[in-house]
Amino acid sequence: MKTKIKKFLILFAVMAVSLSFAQTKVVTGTVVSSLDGTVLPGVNVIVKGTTEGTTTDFDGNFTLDVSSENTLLFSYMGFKSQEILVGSQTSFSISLEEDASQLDEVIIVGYGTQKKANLTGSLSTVKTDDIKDRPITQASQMLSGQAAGVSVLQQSGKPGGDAATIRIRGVGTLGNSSPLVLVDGVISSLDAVNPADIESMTVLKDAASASIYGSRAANGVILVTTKQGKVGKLRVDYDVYAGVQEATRLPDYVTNSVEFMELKNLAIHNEDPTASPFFSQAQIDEYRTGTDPYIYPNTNWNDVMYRTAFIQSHNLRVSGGSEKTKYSFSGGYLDQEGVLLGTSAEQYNVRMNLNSQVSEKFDFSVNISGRHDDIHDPVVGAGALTGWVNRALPMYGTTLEDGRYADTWLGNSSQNSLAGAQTGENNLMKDRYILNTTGTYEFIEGLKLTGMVAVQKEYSLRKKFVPELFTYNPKTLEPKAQGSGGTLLSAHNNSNQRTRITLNTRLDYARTFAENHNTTFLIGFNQDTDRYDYLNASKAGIPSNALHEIDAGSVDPTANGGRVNFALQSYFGRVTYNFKEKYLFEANFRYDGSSNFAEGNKWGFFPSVSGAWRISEESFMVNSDIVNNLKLRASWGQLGNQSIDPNQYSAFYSLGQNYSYGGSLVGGAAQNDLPNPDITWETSTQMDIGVDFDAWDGKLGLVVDYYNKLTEDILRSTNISSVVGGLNPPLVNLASVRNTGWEFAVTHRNTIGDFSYGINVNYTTINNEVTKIAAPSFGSYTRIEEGRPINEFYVIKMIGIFQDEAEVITHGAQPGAQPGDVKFEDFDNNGVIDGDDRQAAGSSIPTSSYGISLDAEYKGFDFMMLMQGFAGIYAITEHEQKPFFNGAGVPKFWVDNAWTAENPNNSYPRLTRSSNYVNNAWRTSSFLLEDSSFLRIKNIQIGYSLPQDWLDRVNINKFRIYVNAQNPFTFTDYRGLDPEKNVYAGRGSYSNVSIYSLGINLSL
Amino acid sequence: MKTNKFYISLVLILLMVTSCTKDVLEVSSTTKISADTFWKTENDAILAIDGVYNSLQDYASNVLYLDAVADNAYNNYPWEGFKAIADGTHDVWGPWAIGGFWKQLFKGIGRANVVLDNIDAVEMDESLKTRIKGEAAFLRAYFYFTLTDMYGGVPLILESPKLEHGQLPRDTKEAIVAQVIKDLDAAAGMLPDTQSDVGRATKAAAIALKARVLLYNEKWSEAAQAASQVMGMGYSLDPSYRDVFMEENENNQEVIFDAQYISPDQGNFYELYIGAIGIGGWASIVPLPELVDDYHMIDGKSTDDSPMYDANDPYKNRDPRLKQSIFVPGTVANGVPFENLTTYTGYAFKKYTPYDETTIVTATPYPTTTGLNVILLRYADILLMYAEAQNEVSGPDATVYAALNEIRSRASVGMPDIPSGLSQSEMREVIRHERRIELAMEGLRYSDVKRWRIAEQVIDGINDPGGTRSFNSARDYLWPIPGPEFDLEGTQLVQNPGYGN
Repeated sequence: MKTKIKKFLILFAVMAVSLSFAQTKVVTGTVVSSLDGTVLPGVNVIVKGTTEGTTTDFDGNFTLDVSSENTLLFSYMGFKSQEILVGSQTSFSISLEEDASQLDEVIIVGYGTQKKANLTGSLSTVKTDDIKDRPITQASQMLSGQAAGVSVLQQSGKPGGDAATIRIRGVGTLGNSSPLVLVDGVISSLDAVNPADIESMTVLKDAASASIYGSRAANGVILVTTKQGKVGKLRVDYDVYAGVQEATRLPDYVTNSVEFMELKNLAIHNEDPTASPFFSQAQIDEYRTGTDPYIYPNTNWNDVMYRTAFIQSHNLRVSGGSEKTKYSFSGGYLDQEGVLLGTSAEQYNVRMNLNSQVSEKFDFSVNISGRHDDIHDPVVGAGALTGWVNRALPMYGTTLEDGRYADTWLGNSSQNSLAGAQTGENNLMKDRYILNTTGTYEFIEGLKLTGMVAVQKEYSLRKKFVPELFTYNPKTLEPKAQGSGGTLLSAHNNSNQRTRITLNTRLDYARTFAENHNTTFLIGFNQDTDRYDYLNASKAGIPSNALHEIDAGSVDPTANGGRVNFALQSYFGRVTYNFKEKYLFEANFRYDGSSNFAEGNKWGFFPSVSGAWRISEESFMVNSDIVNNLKLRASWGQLGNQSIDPNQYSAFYSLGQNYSYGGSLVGGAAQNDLPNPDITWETSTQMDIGVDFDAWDGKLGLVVDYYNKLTEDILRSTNISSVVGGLNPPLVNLASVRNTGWEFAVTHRNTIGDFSYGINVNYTTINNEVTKIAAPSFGSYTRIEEGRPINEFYVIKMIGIFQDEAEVITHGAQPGAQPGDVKFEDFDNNGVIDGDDRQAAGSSIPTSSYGISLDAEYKGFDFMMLMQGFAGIYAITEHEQKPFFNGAGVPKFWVDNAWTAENPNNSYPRLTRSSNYVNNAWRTSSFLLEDSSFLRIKNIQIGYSLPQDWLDRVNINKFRIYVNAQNPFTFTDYRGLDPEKNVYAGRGSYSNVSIYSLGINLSL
Repeated sequence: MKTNKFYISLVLILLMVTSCTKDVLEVSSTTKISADTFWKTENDAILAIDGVYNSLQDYASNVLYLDAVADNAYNNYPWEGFKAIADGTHDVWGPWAIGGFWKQLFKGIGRANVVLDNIDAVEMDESLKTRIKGEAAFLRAYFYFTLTDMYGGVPLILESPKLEHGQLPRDTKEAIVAQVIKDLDAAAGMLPDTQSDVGRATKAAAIALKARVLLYNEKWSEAAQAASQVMGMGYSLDPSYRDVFMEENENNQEVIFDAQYISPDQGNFYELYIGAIGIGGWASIVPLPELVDDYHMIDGKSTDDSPMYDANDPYKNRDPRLKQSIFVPGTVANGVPFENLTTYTGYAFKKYTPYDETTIVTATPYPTTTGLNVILLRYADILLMYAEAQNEVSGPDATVYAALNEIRSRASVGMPDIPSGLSQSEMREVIRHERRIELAMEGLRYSDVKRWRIAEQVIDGINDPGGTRSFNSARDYLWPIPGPEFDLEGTQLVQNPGYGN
């Protein structure tokens, strides 16, 4: 890594352009930003009351002829103006504060920019500065807790697999609910971007702002803007942090072997007193008195398999520019061990953003980025290995005395998790390149033609070697081959590549008529083609664990490959009009044609209209000392969703339905899926009403929105009868779902002397309701039914624990139940507990979410804290708490809480094994669901920046050191795994992580 | 200005490029075959019939578990999808087998129907066409017959799958059986005596299956007739009972029809399911003591009646099929001493495993499959079918004795002949016992005890390591129609008696 940084520095030093200007006048000075001390070029410096003045140069310097009674007025877009009496001073050091109200701020919107004050739609912008230096490993994690209406859940802490899921304004589809992501105008993925390269993210939440992206925008749109060079001299930023990660929550199993054996026998006895004990008393006694730790281990497998894992990150950026050419080059490196043994990832990032004004009329920019991920997993995969650890019992040893991997002499056959983590190879390499070039030609003032070509390439190669691995019975030393996810001594390569080409042409026109009528027009064409190719091959018969490649194999060669194509063509346009920036109006449309649908269903039209009234610009308010901004907004529009597998509209015969005759393999083909020729996109009609309010010069900001989002023709695979040839059901435009809710975002920012602070609070409510479905549709835990939240939990209800025989008899519907068993409600009172007794049992999506961020600065010290919370959501606890499931261990809380005659209770049944016993806890019921609402301290950071005057002496712009804690505390009643996990996930899900890090920001 | 023009033309070229790509929205799959282009050639027909056999593998990969639902074996793991049925605690929602077999069998039926619907329009070799139609009819009959055995009457569908089939009511079991017989008669007329691809259905397979269908439906004389027809078709017993079930001896002279497997591409997991834990298996299906005790002594008498039985050496002098099917105490299995085998009942099956007392092979760990074929119809079964049917028709005549004694006198078995002079009902018991022993661990016992209506006598009350089994004769002779069918709007299906929804 060190050599890499060195190379960068040399490269950039050569390319750097340094310009110097002579200066010999009366007063001189430098203007810098108060935020980070960077110089500000182009600041207007005017002698107040005159037309005399100048602007600062690239180094932020100015020179001016003035007299001592003059007042200098410094003004710069996005910053508060400042006045200074010249007096006797001849040299000025001006520090401009950022304008907190940010009304003049320019926001990136779909295919363009817009002054924040003139927005008519609902969108949120998050700047990297707001989340600086958090140990973020994937760009999707950046938005958590930041914006109203945007819910972000990081479900796993697995290196290379820790991307967060993002949902904007609820769940309006049953398929892919992820928002559309554009990186510098190119449809891409957040996974393709180095988080450190991101300047800002704009989340388009309502139809007015998103409908220009048409058929892919129904889940919202995220516009990512990467850091561009700014006018000014060469600037070098180096950011580094190092830290440790710990699993947030792991299942807590009994780790004493004798205790475990007795508990398992007890569970079996509870199920049926006539059953034989699993462990004989002789075995238990032998274990109790056994002293050889290799034969009689008491292994705590969590201790063996989980570690405090190291993480480090380095990012170097070199940027700068002249008026004509701006550049930003960056390189990044992330090295992350996983908390689970056998998992790790490295990430390499390179980016070059270059922007050049080639002539008066022609602008040209190139963004090139590359990212390489090198991910190592256990050979069986991290999920499977996590499952092994969940199932590893205390009687299983790790190794024998001589270091060979241990098998067990007792009980079920085991997988040695440690061997699973340490042997074999499973390496995923991903490379992603985005090449994006844009040219803009201005014909006449206001009329611009922009063309963009982007090529994206994603390669991934997984190399797997399944080792031959023996574990040894600690008593008899007999070896046993351990399976590791494939034929022993086989090598596998899975390679795939995706090519996406985007062509985009658009014509913009902006004009102001009769002074007060401001209009803009946009019309454009976009085409995306996407091609995915895959090729997999393997061979077995590799002579030893030392060789890992297919070429070393000799038998059973396999190969398969194929391709999937997708294309989308679109026309889009926008008109905006405002009168004196007081009455604002905007209309958008997009006309999309998708290859996913059959002729006749291919094309869709997605319009939107919106308007706003800036009341604060009216004469009665414009001079208010309190209110800086008051705006009412309203919008309506339609969006689509078409992210489904292609070719679902026609019937296919799948190959690979093979058979063998007399030992020779032959190919077979069969139709596996029922097609749906009428399939078309989901349409989402969205309405939004909002208020923006800013007062007391930024001390108070308030944004309130009410949204109403109706998604129709939701695609879902229907339930069909298995009688229909056992075919997989088709996706059908099945249901309608309405999401309504309120969003509140409150900001308060203030400065008291040297102390400045800010508070941001956002709160979102989501009311989800299925408004139409032909017939209710049921999953194993959930249902979709009119008038109810989508996929709400729908199960038999637990109403307590049978305390005695009499209660079983009184209840009547659970013959054979014993005291201590779960008591289910006979909802339809027919004397049988069955599917008809299912009832609504909680929402699987949160009904509200909130985020709170605090920041403060005092004399070089800074503090930041972020909290994130979800409420009204239920999650399955089943897998974490199933004692003895599939040979697994028993969680400690069961042992402590299970019902016994001596210690009766009404919430935890007596101990039994999973699933076999009809009256036991494992029947799908409300017992296996819990409220998983949580409040999480997502991040705390404390930093200190060295005083500027010290740094100036050594020509350093900035030096800051900080400590950071991510996910340090979580408050929840949920007793399952990490509450941020997928509500359905359990055993085998990789834990989320807490990260404690120390970092430095250095800028030259 | 020159450069400006250059850039303008660049942008214009862009515009042109974008407007010249009209066909980009027409995307066709190049990895799957479109239904529009399938069913044109002979090769398509072969691909499609092989796809039907593929679904037979799904079924046969689980069928041996049925012995653990009957009184032959024990399955300790509820999550494998059978144990609750053995215990009588199953309901419409599960375990897996209830919905799993239902779907797999209808999948096979759907695929067979697609072949029969489309093949006539294909221009191809007519004799090949006839053969493929025969195979499809045979397989459809196999799947439908199995459905009736498990669930009773089901919707009868004889055309390619359509969504509307989900709204069909159940036909009677009799109607399905009639169609099955019709299919098998047709298949017998179309199928050759031998197939160059070993494993494809033959004429004998069709008639043998017909014999089983007739036997299960107590059409005794027709069953005897069909079985006797197969007895004249050139099959014979393998001299070694053990070898019948060995991979190196697959497709031996006794096999009439089996599900074929190959490792690792199209294999099954029986080696894991059946293998003892000490060898590296899961011991998912292990023999019950009730089965072990039922093996007679070599004098042909039961352990209770024979003077040869020694309670201190209980496995000595037993029917040789015992040690060819089951590892008993005192032996070594695949190099592992019996006491280290670790199973739930104290016994482990040897049948359908590669393990024996003298050699050591490396156990194949999960998830690699093994390739031993699962025999669905074999000659010994035909002899037993004949004996059973003929005994019902005419009482124990000489042909009944001959069929049974042929099995008992197999070289590696050598059990004495059945004593003569038995009454019809005594002979019935002898045949039932012989079936249990000869066909143990072949997935047939569950059907047998159900059709003999003795399931509650032999299953109910068995005390196995999981507790006490229950068989509710008012309910459990049929499995329930799977619960998810009743969640569907407009279903016409009616549940079997005794099951809620």
